[in-house]
Amino acid sequence: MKSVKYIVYILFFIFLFNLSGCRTFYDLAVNIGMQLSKPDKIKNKIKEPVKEGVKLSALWVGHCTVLVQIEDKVILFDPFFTNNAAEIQRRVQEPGLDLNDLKKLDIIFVSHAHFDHLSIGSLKILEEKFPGTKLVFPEGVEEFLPKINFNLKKLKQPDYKNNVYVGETRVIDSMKITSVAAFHWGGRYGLDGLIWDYKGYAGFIIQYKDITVYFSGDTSYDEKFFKYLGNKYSIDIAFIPIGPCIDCYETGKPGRHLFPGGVFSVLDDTKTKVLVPIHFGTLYEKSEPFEPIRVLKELMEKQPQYSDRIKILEIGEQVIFK
Amino acid sequence: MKWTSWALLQAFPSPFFVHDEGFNSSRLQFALKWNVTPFNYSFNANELVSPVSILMVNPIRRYGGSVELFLQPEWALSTYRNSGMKRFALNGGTRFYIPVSEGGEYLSVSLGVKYKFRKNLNGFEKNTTGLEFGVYTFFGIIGFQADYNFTSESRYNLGITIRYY
Repeated sequence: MKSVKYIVYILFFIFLFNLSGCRTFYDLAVNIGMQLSKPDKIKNKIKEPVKEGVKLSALWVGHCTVLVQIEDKVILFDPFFTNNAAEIQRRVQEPGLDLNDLKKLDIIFVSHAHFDHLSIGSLKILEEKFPGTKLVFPEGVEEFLPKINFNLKKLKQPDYKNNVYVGETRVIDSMKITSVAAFHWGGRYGLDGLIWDYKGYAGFIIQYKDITVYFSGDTSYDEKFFKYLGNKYSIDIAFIPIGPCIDCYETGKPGRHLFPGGVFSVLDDTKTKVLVPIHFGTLYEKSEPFEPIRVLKELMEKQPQYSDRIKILEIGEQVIFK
Repeated sequence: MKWTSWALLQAFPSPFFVHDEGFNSSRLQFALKWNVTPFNYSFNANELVSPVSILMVNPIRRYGGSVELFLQPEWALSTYRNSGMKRFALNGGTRFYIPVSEGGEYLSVSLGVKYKFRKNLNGFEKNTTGLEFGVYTFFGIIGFQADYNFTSESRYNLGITIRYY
């Protein structure tokens, strides 16, 4: 009976934490409650994600996973195809791409080692299907990579604290790839990034033929950096995170994440032709999964001049530029 | 800073129950233990990192498949009134980790052998050998370990392991 009493005490304690408004406990409780649920189905998934005659295309798989085709090259960013991140965070919608439909893959990018970006289970699935594929990541991520049959390519991480925004540029598989600053944090298991200052977080600029793609990784807003990008590169398409957020109307939380309120500044500063918002709609963290995009749409109604430069994709939707 | 905070985290004990058996009575004794890893060799290390770790072991390398030497000091919260053992004991041994889910980060199991150094209240050595089984989740932060010792005075241990790196 004693143990039952203790369990009741613990549950009551968690309940009190929830009442206190502690978001972490609330998210934890919601995610625990979702463990037995199945992610919502995505209807009409694209069966032929890689096509002939495409100059540039982007298929949003969900969260930060994006499949990009630049002419004959196929790139996958931050692959996350499993049902859970960090064991407890449950996916609310299934991935918008069936990997059986993917017939070609040239490079995989991992922006940092947090669980929703470096998914070991997803990499294992990709390893079976595409052994030996190039895996590009910023230095520090290798600490959290398992033994895996990929061609590992480590790029230097920019020292943005000293206003160095570019880490390293290398030509990999005929693509010019540059690691650029991301205003985030590293590590994988919490304290290792927050206290031990583990490195391993960056964005990427990919230049191939006359196309420039920017994948920011997780980042917050930094005016000087984004203006630097805008002056140095002619970005055709940028994939920018807009969550997770609580104060979603704000620009973001420095050193953590960009919020919907910061998207217009990024567009202005980087002069990006098309911006695709990501990092929402898949996991329950800090707010409802679709709250960031709801806020962004609301803000876009007030600033319609940006509407043709922001392309909001549904999970599984592909945008094609010919 | 890194090693200091890591050492402080390692000071956090793992609670467990120890079997305390005498001639006429038997009970479970509550105790605490700490884990030290002098050496770990990972089978899951990629080509850019060393497979060998000393003391601090990255969870992806430990729980993704490895073999390690371990030391486990343990301290019982009250006297072993049945078996007449001293409260302090030191376990030393080796264990293998086998990944089960997500490269061992979500679920991993271990199997180990150990030698327990302990004395009775009269100061005589009552060392023993044992087998250890473990299941770990949440990147190894939480686990369950069960021991089977080859002595009738303390046959079973069962407890939680709490560990960060």
